[in-house]
Amino acid sequence: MAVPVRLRLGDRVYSALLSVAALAAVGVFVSVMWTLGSAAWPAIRAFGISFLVSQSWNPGEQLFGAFPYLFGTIVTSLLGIAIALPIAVGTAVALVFLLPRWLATPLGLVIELLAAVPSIVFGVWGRAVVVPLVRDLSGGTSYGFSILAAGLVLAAMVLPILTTVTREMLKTVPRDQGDAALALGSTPWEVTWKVVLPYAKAGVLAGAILGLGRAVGETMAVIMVVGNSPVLPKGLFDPGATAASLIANEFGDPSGPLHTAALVELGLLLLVMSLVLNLLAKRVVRRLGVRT
Amino acid sequence: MSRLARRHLAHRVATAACLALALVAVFPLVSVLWELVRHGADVVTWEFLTTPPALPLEPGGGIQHAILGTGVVVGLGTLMGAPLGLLIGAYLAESRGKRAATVRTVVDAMAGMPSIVAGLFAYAVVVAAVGFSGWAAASAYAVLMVPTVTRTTEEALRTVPQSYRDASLALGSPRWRTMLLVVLPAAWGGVLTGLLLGVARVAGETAPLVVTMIATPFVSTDPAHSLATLPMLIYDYGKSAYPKLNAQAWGAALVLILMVLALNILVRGMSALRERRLKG
Repeated sequence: MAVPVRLRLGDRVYSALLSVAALAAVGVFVSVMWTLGSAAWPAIRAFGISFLVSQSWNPGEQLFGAFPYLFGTIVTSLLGIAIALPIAVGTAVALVFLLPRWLATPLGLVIELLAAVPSIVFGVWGRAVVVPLVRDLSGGTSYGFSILAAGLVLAAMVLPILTTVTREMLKTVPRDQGDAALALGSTPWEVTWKVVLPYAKAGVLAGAILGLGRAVGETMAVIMVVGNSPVLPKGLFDPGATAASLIANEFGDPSGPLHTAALVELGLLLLVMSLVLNLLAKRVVRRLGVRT
Repeated sequence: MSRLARRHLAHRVATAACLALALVAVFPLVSVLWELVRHGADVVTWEFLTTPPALPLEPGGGIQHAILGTGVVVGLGTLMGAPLGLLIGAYLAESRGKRAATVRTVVDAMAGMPSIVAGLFAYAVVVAAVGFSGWAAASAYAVLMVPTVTRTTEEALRTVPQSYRDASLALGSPRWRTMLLVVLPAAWGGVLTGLLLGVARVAGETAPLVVTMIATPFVSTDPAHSLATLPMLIYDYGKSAYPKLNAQAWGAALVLILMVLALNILVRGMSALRERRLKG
């Protein structure tokens, strides 16, 4: 081949550069896992499985059991999804089928912009709006800083992703499916409920799983409304804490190296949870892709 | 009531319910903006933006230190994360096969990484080496920014028609010149959008800062030490016992959200413009 050597060298450098960058992506990811794993190792070795099930988080005695925090993470996240899901599905139906375009477009934009609001702003807002609301709801038996307040704020935060995913799924439903049902005498609502939503079910599920993945790692908004209590909450109006909020609260002032390791182990657990949820969502979407 | 009438009633009720839910969905953003403007609009003055903080019990004082610090941390994070994201995006756009699929999966996984985890990573690597510092915070931002920049870059580069590349290659231009002089110029709008999106993604992140820097009231732009930042200031002032600081937290939150929303709207405007031009 009569390709000048100078150019071939340029291309070799170019493709080497790209490969190095791709390798760096994998490298960063592996080193995140590795670094957190080795920083958490003292705690993993000291407490083993009791880290997950023990309820005593006691820096004074260097005993760390994270059950109340993991429980708080799971409960607040599920609560957030449970609140947001019906709102997201109803909104998506309204955006795709009910509202005229001139109204649906700006409305969709408003909901998508909600995703851009920084979590610390949600925290300040939650303190001023959601916490008093929960206090009133409880009839004065709660200060408002509670599992429920965290769930409500998380619901607002995952609403955009749930709505967007559901909306995109609804758009993929072939028109003739609905038209056939209409021709057989269904009302438009029956078409939506019995034809369109079942068709889009897997996509909505994937969206919910993605939202859950976001919610478990959410830190600053939760920390400002959840109450940060180390006691296992007994009801929705009780204060609690989550794994992420605990890390942010205690990381700056640890009682010793084992304390830091325990907090890093919580971070590692959060990372694993969000990875598993992400992969799961992807799998659901892929299965859907095969079916359609 | 006849069965038919009941079915039509169900239709009407359900339609009304969906419309009501759409209103509920709009509530959070409207309420957030309303509260920020209500509590923060009076606080935000030129003086507020450009003066260093005063003691909690003295009147006045501003958030100059936090604006400067956020600028430094976001700027450094972008300088570290954006080139990497651009290169990985170019790699993904240029290659096929198993290896590219692996890289794509890894980037997706990184996109789902909780921001506090990125902070812990920066703590374990950078804080361990140089202490609590702007460098540590910026590296956490960089890690968070890479997936966003990568994905948008890949998408932008893929929109460039294959015929452009083929023409350039057929004229004897090597791959790197084709990328630099043909593909990139054709896609630069999308690539720039990705960069801005990456900046918007991290600018309001607080959790990584909490574990990589210590709050400071000093005006500084030196990343070798802890810097004040807008998100951290909002957090500290927001839970403070001093009413003046609470009010300033609202003001700072208003400034932050205006910045982030402006970036997002800019990005959307640019994408819409490009789409229109592509459709021509």
